[in-house]
Amino acid sequence: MSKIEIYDLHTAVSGPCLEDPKKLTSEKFSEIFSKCRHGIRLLSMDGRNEAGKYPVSSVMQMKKVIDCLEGKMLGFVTVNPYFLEEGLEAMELGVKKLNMKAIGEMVQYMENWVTDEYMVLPVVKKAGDLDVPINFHAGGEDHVEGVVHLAESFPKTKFIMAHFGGRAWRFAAKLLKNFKIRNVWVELNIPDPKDPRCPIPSTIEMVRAAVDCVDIDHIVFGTDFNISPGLDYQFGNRLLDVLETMKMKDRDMEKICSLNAKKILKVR
Amino acid sequence: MIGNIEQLLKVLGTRTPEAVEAAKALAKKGVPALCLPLKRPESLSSPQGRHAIARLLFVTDISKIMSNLLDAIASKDWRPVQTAGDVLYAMGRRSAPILIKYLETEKRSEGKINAMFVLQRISTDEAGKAIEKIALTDKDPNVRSVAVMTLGMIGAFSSKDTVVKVLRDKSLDVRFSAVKSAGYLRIKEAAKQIVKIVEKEKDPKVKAVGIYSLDRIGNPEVAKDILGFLKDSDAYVRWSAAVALRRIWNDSCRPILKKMKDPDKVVASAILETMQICCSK
Repeated sequence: MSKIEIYDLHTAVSGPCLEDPKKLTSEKFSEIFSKCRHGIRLLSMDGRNEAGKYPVSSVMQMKKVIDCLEGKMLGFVTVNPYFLEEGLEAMELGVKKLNMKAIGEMVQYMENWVTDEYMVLPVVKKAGDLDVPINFHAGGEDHVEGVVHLAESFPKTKFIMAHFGGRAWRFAAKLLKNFKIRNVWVELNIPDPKDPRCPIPSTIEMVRAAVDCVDIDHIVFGTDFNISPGLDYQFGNRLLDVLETMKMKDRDMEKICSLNAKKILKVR
Repeated sequence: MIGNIEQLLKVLGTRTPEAVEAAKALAKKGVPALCLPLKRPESLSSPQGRHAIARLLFVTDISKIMSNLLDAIASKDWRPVQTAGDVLYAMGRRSAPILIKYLETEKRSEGKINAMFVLQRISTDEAGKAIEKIALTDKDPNVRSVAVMTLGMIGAFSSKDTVVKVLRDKSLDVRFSAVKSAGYLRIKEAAKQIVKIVEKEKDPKVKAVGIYSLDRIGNPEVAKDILGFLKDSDAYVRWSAAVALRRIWNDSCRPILKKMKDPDKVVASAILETMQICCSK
């Protein structure tokens, strides 16, 4: 296959680059991705820990960074449900006026709320009303359970289950399959194959489980990469290595790498 | 890195890159030295050290370290539990038969609970039979609670009868784990019993979890009971009930729901959506 395009749906722009968007010029951006054997487009959020406390100014700042990068990056709206009114305002502004493509990452573990608790419900509903996906951190059984509960309760909202539940991916696969959840997209990352605990065969088992539980059209790629000049991004190469080892059909590879992302984000 | 074992254990516990080197140096001294940190929790205080030890244990002949791993998951300290659990989890389904056998003989509550946590992550229903026995007979309610929850989480559909029996456990915590488990396993015959448990519950968050289980079970025989929860003083409980009705619908709900005017926007919107979904069925 000729050079494939990869959409990484889960990256963050580091604080210094947000404070001064000129730090992340198009050239510096290309340097970060120079070792990739694929084209790349990112969906990024505000990487500052407390971005959700000031969501309106955060989304406006994010827009400035995106504008500097000539279409290589798309944006999330970062929301913290403790600051609900401003969060809803940022969602409206971000999606309708600033062309942001998704909400999230909803980071309950950092902000100390429970995935499916009452205060998050208006955020989820709003994402459904705006018809943009909402990305929830899911790094364990509780998070997985919460995302599934919300997905069942808001069938019109599209959910991205970040990290495919982390170590709870088998549990996530089981729940998504048993309860026939159709509005959750599983976000895959490919662990470092140099870690002996994550050899390629076990990663292949994870990808197969994702295909089995939600089907090939509901899998996207996301890495949690924190964009900062000087770093070296090679996650996309790992994804291609695994999919090629699996001898996946070209069309299915494309779906995981970018087509599913384009469809859910409604981009060309 | 050169040093005696005590020095290496000390460095291993530091949040430095040297912790990784100390782990490698311990591995070079042989399997007993590599397993020593599992008995010395303070040496596993840094994530660097824990991850390095777990990686090295994982590539060691498992038969030589298994007894150490199983001993470590019964520790009262979280650090050896996490490190050994990490190795057992990374082994995937290969560790399931070992953990099942361990559950049959282990006496310590911590060991049984942590073995079941690993089995939850591996998510294999092979463990059902061994866990059923624990759910019904273990003396420690914490162990019974984790056991019955595990049955649901691993999708042990052949253990439905056991989960129904545990709904009558003398401990409220255990009964509530059985409620959740019944939801995972969609045990239709448990619905009425769950309603009784949920009605007695005072904590709205726990109550909402019970209603969610009823939602998953989807038995229309409890539709009227669910309607009753729409009068609860807590908005999250009412929201859970409004959503649950979508799967537990029966036509007698329609006139009652039509008259409902909830003061809470989130609940009112859920009721409206339920009406739209169910009335078009």
